[in-house]
Amino acid sequence: MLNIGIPQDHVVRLGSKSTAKTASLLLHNYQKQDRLYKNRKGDWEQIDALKDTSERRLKHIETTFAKVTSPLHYRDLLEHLEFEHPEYYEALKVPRDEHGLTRVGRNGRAVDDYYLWHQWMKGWNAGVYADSPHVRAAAQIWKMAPALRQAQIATWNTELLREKVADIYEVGKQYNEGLDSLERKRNQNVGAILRSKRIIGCTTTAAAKYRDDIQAASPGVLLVEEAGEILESHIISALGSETSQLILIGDHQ
Amino acid sequence: MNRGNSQASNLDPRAQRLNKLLDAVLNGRQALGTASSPLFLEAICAQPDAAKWIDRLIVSKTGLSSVQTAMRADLSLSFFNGHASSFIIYLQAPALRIVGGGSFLQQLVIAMVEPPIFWNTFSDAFRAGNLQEKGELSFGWLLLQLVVLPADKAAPYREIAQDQAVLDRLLSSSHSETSAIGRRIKDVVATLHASIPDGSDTFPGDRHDNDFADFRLISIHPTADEITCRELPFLRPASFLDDAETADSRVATYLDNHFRLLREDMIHEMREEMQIALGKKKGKHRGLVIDGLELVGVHFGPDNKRSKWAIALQCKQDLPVLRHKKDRRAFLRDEGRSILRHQSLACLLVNGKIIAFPTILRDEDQLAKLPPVVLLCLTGESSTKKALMELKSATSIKLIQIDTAVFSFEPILKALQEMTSVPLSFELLSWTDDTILADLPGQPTRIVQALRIDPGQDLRSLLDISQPKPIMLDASQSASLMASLTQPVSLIQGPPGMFPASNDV
Repeated sequence: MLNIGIPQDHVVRLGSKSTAKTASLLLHNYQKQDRLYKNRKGDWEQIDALKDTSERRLKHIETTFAKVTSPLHYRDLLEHLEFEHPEYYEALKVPRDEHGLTRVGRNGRAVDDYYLWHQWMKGWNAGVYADSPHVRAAAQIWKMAPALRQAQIATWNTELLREKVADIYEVGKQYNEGLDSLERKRNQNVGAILRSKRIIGCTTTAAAKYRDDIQAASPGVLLVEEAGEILESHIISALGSETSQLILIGDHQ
Repeated sequence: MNRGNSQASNLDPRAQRLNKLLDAVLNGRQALGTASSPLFLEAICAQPDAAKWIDRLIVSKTGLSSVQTAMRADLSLSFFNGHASSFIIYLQAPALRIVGGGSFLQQLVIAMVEPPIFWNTFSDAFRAGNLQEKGELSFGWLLLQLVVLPADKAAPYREIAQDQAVLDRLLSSSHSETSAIGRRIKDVVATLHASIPDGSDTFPGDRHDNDFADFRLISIHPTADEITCRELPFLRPASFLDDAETADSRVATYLDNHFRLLREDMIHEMREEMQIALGKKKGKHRGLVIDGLELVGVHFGPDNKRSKWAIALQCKQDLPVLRHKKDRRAFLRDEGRSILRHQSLACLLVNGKIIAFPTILRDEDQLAKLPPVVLLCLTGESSTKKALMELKSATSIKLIQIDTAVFSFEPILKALQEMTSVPLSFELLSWTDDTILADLPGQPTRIVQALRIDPGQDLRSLLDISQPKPIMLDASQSASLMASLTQPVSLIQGPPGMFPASNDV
């Protein structure tokens, strides 16, 4: 094409392969020369917001992952019961004394909020709360055999793990999408360069990779060389919403 | 058009007041009320530089919320047909598509319709036929912006677009812009809901955890379930796409089928590789196999250059290929740059079971450690969740690198999933022997006429080509040229050697 007089700066090539003659047509060459899209205040605003959000999500993933890989704390387990298995939570809750008095356990020490949990988990009875109404009301829970209790705890552990894993997946997905958005915002010059050219040359794989940027340039004509060697799906995915003409050139071998 | 600050001296009193209001609202000095809302919208419509204005809006802390307030201050028909429509028509300015990569406009559109106080009443008014020409155009344009949003956001709006009554009203509008928008929405809707051959005994959806009727839900990377599944995947016979019964869903079915076909090419390669790697089939497995890995954490890359999130697995001992290398980092950068290539595919086995197919995130610093740390990006919901669950109690973790060039399939598959319309679908998919192709608008008529009159002429002067040898085409060559200039779709076929392959552009 260059040989027939098409000006060099009307053409851009995507991808990394080139000859000496065509090296100057590569995208990253133009990127070095021209800053056609200058970020506006709004762009910087969005970039900063995206960065902040990314860092928050990153920390969340780190924290949750640490919880997944370390043994479960009974505090988290009881919180899980409060929401997912309230009947157990009620049975194992240490009541606040109405008169502000502190109960004392067998060893003479004050009982904490996890006293009943520890009693139940170890396979014992409700200790100093054995006659409390809420313990009596949950008799079947307090009658459970130790093996059964352990099995139940194992189930809850798995439930909790599943929740945390789902959380990591969700936030991880959002984090990754945030990075993609940041990448797009940082590369707005690519779209601007493509828009400024009359001819964009690329392989079908590059056309798919740079799809959004090429779409922004709204090419009207898609010309495919060696069309006989190219899969149909590759050509279809290269059609842009403004493409009104498709020319396929090839041999029938 | 950018008149900058000099415009202030040319404004009439009303325009000056409107600008003052706009400034006050965007700077957070004034909250919008019932009376000031339409004035706010009027002020925006008077801004000559749309790109500059939307930039201010995005930066302003009260920008988007002010637009939200203004759009729902008044839900009367006269507001919809008046100020609301004028504002929405203003948003059609071409500059707004480009600024911020289109993301400013997208943010604004989403802010206008979520929560749907304005949108619901506006859509109802459209459906009831209570909007006038401007109002119908605005509704159509807004709906078009919404149906091409990413799939999860676009879902409720695509529902509305699939209501035939809505489409019909747009398509039958006497206003050409509105009916054109209707056609574009119809194109988007056409890509949804592929169909299945009648009486087919195979259906998509139940074979494994990555089998869905909606191909857009399929994870491009396979899952463990999928690779180990023995059932044949769901594919349609080619003849189904030519079947006249399926003309309505042809575009959707076409995209769906091509996705499945191409993906099956990739999956087939992977299955072969896996069989070889697991010793179930003869062949040479290229790619590393690493046993005895240990999960040591999650990895995000350094502060200033964050990467996709990855799990970090530490090797039990050094990789054979790195042993005795003095400068490990330099080796990994040069001679060893094909070791554990970035984004190459791997098979993760936990306690002897295939669990997931993550991609490798190549980090030379991590690989250069002693012992090396391999970073893996888990993709796909079920694979990621399964892997994290199993890794917690893993006693043995093994990684098998797979050679399939996923990166040559992935962009195309992703593009097929993201396409919201298939251009030229009429010519490509609905063409029959009787079809008369419409004339291509925007043809180079001068050249076409000249070629018709004298097809054998020397083309150098006609096409303004500078080259020493004359260019004269024979009959079939000039017919090909005419076809390519005048038809929406043209196929030019010739014997091998007709077009010498060259890297010279």
